Amino acid sequence: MRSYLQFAILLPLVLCGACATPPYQPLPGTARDIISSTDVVLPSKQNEIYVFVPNSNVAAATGGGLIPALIDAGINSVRTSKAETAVKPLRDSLVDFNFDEALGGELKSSLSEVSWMHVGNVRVIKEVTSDATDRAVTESRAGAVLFATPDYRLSNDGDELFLSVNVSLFPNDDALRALKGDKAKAASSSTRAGSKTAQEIALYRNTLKFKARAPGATSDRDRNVAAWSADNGAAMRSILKLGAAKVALMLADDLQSSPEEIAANTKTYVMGPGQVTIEGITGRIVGTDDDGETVRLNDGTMAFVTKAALER
Amino acid sequence: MVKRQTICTAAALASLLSLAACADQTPIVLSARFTPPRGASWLPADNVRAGGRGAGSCRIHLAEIRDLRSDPQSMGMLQNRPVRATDSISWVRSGFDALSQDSRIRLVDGAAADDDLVLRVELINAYVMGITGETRAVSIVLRVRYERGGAMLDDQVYRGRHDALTWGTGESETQASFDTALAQLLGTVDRDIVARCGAGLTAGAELR
Repeated sequence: MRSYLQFAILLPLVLCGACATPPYQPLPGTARDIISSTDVVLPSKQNEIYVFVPNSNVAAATGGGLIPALIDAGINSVRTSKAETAVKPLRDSLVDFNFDEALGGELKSSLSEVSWMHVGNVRVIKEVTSDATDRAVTESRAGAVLFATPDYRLSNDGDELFLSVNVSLFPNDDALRALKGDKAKAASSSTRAGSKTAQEIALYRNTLKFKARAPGATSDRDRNVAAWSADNGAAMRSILKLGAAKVALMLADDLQSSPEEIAANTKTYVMGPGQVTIEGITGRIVGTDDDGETVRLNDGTMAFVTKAALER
Repeated sequence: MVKRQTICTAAALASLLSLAACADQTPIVLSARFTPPRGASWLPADNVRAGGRGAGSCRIHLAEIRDLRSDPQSMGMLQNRPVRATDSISWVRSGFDALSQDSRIRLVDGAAADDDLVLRVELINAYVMGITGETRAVSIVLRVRYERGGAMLDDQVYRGRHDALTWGTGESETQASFDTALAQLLGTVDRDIVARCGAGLTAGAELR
């Protein structure tokens, strides 16, 4: 009986794990010569900034059960309510700010510098389902479709802004599908939801992150939100625009990596000068400018960390 | 032993159902009608009293409602399920129609008279998002432009919100959150309308 229970609980985890794909997959060099055109799609379900709320773990810590689960639900409800109340002044100050447009503009601008991508339309879709992303591929006349899925949030204390953009490039013509073999060819005619945007047929995949600190950051969430919100949200507008620009630049640079750079990018960096750890992942600094540092993390993903956030 | 077996079976089913729920992307479709939240007074009670000298003296002409969002159908996502509006403009309009529950306000159709307060409404944001695994938060943002006699008075941005535990994945609790958030927002709009109608109200009807 016990093994039956363990099997039932572990099965979903195993199934989910089986679907997991590495966060970084470099673009095959041959793809550059045969990409006829690229449409960019931003699947952005987010409408406004939010405060990250950590899940309560009473049930996990006590071995489960109905009462601990109810305690967790109660704690999460209170935390959600407090976080939503705290972030309201910042949201109000950004009512006329459209992050999707800012990111779309930066991606268009940076990727237009990558001549072989032949970037065409940039569009936003607000409904993020496998049907919707498949439809975006089907409706595109470009040879490839690049998806850039953003998420931007404040830390629970409101002292840090995190922006992450998951990027995937999918083939949309026979020449590019041939690079991914039979799976991609089968997906082109399949009507199964998610088949055209399944991660295993992506030509390129990466996660690009951006991290910044609030002006005069403290451990007081309300004060941090007030700092971000001051002067009609000037600090947040500025940092979100910077984040969009840095993410777009990292993407353009990464797509143009040479084979030697790709080999270095996928090599685990152990210890040494320029070592940085971001959200528990170690990496090395690969670029520096007036705003901060560009970091290649050991899983191949990239991050830009502003100077203020690095000094922590 | 039987009890233990039942518990294990229930746990196993719950585990598998949770996986199925993650994969379910069936849209949650919202009603085009605003329904004031049950059991909650969404307009201040003293405003809703019937009769009085100022009853119906605040004439409101709802000239226009526009949805400025890039996708008027999208109302956010909850547990991987898209939430869709049947008709976002009709939903907001039915919310403003409900302002007539305030006895001082009278919504008028047709051409606006010079003294009528004319409202032009823009829907800027309306969405639900999951904050933790079991909580949801709804936000609605509207801009209302106030006009009288063909001249612009001012404009205001209003936000209504509601957060709650998500017990199921059904449409009713999501719908209730949207209606509650809109009701919260309309409570403030009601106060501002009455303030702008001051000249048309008798002193006895001025409540705030």
